[in-house]
Amino acid sequence: MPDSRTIRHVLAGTLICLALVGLSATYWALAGQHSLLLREDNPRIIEAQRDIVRGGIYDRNARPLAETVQLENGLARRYNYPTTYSILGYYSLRYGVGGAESAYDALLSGARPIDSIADYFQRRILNLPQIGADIMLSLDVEIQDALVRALDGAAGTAIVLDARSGAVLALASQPSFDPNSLDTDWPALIEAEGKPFFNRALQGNYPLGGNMAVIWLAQAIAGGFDLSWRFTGAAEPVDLGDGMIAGCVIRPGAAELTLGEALTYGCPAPFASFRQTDSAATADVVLSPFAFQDPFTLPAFPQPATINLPANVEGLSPAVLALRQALGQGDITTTPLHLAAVMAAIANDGLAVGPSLLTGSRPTDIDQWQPQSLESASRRMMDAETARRLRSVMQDARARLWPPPQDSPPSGAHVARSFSGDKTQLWLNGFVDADEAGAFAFVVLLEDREDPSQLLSVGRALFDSFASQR
Amino acid sequence: MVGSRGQGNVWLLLLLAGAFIFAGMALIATARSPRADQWTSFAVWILCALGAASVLRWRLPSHDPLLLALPMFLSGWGLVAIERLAPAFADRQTLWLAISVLAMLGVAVFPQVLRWLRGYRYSLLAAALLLLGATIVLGRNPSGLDFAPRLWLGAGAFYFQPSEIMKVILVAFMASYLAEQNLTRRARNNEPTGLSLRLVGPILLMWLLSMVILVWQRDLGTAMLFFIVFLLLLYLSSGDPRLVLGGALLVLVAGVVAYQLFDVVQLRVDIWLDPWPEADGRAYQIVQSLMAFAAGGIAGTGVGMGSPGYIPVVHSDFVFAAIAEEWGLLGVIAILSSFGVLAWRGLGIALNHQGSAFHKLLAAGLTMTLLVQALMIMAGVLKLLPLTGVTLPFISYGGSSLFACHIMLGLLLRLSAGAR
Amino acid sequence: MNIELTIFLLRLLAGLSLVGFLLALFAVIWRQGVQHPAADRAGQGFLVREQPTLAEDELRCSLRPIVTLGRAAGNTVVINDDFASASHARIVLEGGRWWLEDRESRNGTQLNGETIHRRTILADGDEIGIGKYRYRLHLNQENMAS
Repeated sequence: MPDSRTIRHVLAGTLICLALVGLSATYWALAGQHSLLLREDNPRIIEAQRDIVRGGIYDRNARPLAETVQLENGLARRYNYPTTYSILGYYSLRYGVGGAESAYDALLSGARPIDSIADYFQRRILNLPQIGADIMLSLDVEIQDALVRALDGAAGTAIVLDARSGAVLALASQPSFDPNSLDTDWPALIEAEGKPFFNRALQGNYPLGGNMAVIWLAQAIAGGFDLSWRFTGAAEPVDLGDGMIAGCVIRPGAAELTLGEALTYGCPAPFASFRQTDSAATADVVLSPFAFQDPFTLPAFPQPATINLPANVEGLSPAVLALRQALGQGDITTTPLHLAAVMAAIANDGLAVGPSLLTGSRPTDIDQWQPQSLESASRRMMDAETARRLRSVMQDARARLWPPPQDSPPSGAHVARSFSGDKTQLWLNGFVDADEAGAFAFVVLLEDREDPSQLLSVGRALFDSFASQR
Repeated sequence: MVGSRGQGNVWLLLLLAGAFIFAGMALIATARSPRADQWTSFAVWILCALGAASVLRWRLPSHDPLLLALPMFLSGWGLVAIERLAPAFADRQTLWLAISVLAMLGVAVFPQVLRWLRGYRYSLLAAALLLLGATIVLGRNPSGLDFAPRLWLGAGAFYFQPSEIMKVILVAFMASYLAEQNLTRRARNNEPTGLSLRLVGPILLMWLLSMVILVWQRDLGTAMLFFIVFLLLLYLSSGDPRLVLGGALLVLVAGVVAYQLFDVVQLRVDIWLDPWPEADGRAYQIVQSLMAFAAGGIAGTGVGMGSPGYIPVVHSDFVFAAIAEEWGLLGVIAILSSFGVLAWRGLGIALNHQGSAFHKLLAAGLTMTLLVQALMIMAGVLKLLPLTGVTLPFISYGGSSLFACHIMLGLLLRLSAGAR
Repeated sequence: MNIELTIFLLRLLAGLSLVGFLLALFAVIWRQGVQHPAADRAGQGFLVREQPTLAEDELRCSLRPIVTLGRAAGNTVVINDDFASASHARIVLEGGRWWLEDRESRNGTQLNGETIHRRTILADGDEIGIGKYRYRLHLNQENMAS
């Protein structure tokens, strides 16, 4: 016969067990928030990510470069313009984000702390899907298409900047990838020799090389040097020691060249001689206004890679080392983006405006683009007069290589070559100054090239498309 | 007994439970493409609740209304959970609920049932053992998988798990057997209680039965449940904690032996001790279950807004974890409180002075069967105990379980009204 | 009505009805726990005649320190049976326990079906048999200690 004492014992035991279960549930509900939920194998993390309605990416004419579309089995990211893939990057549930998708991820995904009670209700009580903002980039699909067409599949990079505002109008890096099929391509892409995820315009760091000619020319103009002076033996190659021999990029018709003609054909010898006319003007002094040590970058994008300059310089004499520094093969390196900013400074009366890509955003609940503040620092690289005279030298150079049609806008260019390890890069830099339409600066880099013929065809295609753009 | 037992309260409680279940069903409707059948489920629940309350009030006016309101609340919640987690099974569960509530009313209203349970106990026990034997020989698993435990007897689309109904018969048998032994007075009169065969015999018998279930059917949960309930009844009838300690020792020995012999036991204990290294392998289920608790937090994600679907077989064994995710800690506390009050009222029948020893032991035994089963699975889902695949009474999917729980409930309602 | 407001209201309803259910539950428990109906009526316990059964008005006798059973009219419980002696048995409270004593009756007193030969301690639910009569003992253990 059960007496009430034992029944009470059993009841108490049962209630204690229930309380223990309650305590344990409380523990997991509270402590688990920080430990368990953040585990990588928590499928809810991916699920939450899959439910995010990611904002679209638009070019400056509001063309949808990337957008989130509703498919039968959920949301998917679609990229519409193949030429923009390299700058847009990718968005993958499995492999994360890259490129512009990564740089502006917070805006695109709408990730932000809960900022109001209404916000709390929307997100915690109603569990509304996280909706990101659309963003607008300064890219122009037409310029981008023209640029990539001009590159014609070559490994390298090309950038077009708006010289007045610093806005990036086009930026391509090759080889590239297709973000629409990233999940299947990934293993091959990550192993690929051409490093498709490496954005050469932003991350690539190259010796200044023949681009140094522009810096010396600016110095010559500022110092009142007679630009009609002809240097003898101008087309001769310059021996930089250790088997590095720098000759003209394009064979000139004459043996004696002015500094402007040497710039046209990318001949280093006249600049090596010019350097000795002014003993105070060492390479380091003339370089300092151009800020190669502290280059412009695009915020939130990957920073320039550090490169190994030729290692075996111990055996070289101080004179050869000084020569190397003067011809851009010393310790000065540049990213294509920063060099484009130098070109923009030439086109913009000496003032370089920091490059920017993001121009506006459009949050979900607002139907209008809100301008993104463009607070990039600008730097004066030369005075306006020097810039003007440099422009005219480069216009002559352009006319020699690619004779312009009638009443085309003033445009200038030069070619250059640099040596990075056992690789050679060819450069084509310049500007187009179409008054009302603004001024553009561009840099094209072809990797691992000796033969200038492709550089000439790239230039021709580029100037043709600029002319037709108008 | 007393007529004024607060009958008005049952209507208020059922109204609130109905509002809660309505909200759940409606939230499911907003979260996915509408399915008219969920409103059928809701309508069946309302009919069951109102019908049962009315019939009991008419035929059994002195019953304890909480013993109806709480299980109806829980089984309604179960319908919502199954509608949410496994809509394909929802119709079947609704049908089973209607059958179960009818059976519960039958047991509660007809006074002969208690007499039969006592009078024909040996026949019933024999029948139950026969069913168990038949399961061992002819048992099937509705999933049709080879390795799944074969605990069901089935014909066509209709499956039944004999071990569920055996719970009722065994508890009744133990209660009537122990009631006749008058263990308390023996102890008081200092008569020997120690090693008489009348005491040790049934202990060994129960232990043996549990082991048979464990060995032949690999049904760890039911075996544990039978034995624990039996030990509790033994303690209630003798008041002697030594018997319980001895029994607990036997469980431990059986556990160690089973760990050595059976892979399924070894697996359960191993992942209980340390699930983390195998979170995506053998311990996937328990780790996902704990993640569901974490994802739910205090207020829960809301019905249809969480992801409890990641837990395998969430609608039966792991329904508690799903509730924790979508209803949060609040829901967990509600369920624990409900079971706590159920224990209180059920054992309260035994505390009451109106019944015979058999009735008191039966009430305590039935209550503890429900509670031990609930505690076993809730503690298992929370990694407090090794997992023992039993269902959460009234809530989990499973027709046999729902049916057996309601039979027990019917008996408790009858006992609460005063047995004579 | 838009879907967000609907979801919000439904979640509100779910939360409130859940909390309401729990509060109502505890209110019921609180009220019934405070005024336990069985406790004040039963005193220390009572004796119920089970056989022969009387329809609804069961013969119920509250326990007092000495309860006498027998055929004679002066007994606390009068047994209308030829098998019963005039003073057949008695139930006494001693040292906080209830004892059953047979008062040397002719036909003996049964406790749970067994004839007793000496004073025996009674427990809740015990069945006392005199002649064809059966009485069930109900003890109120809460009040026993005092």
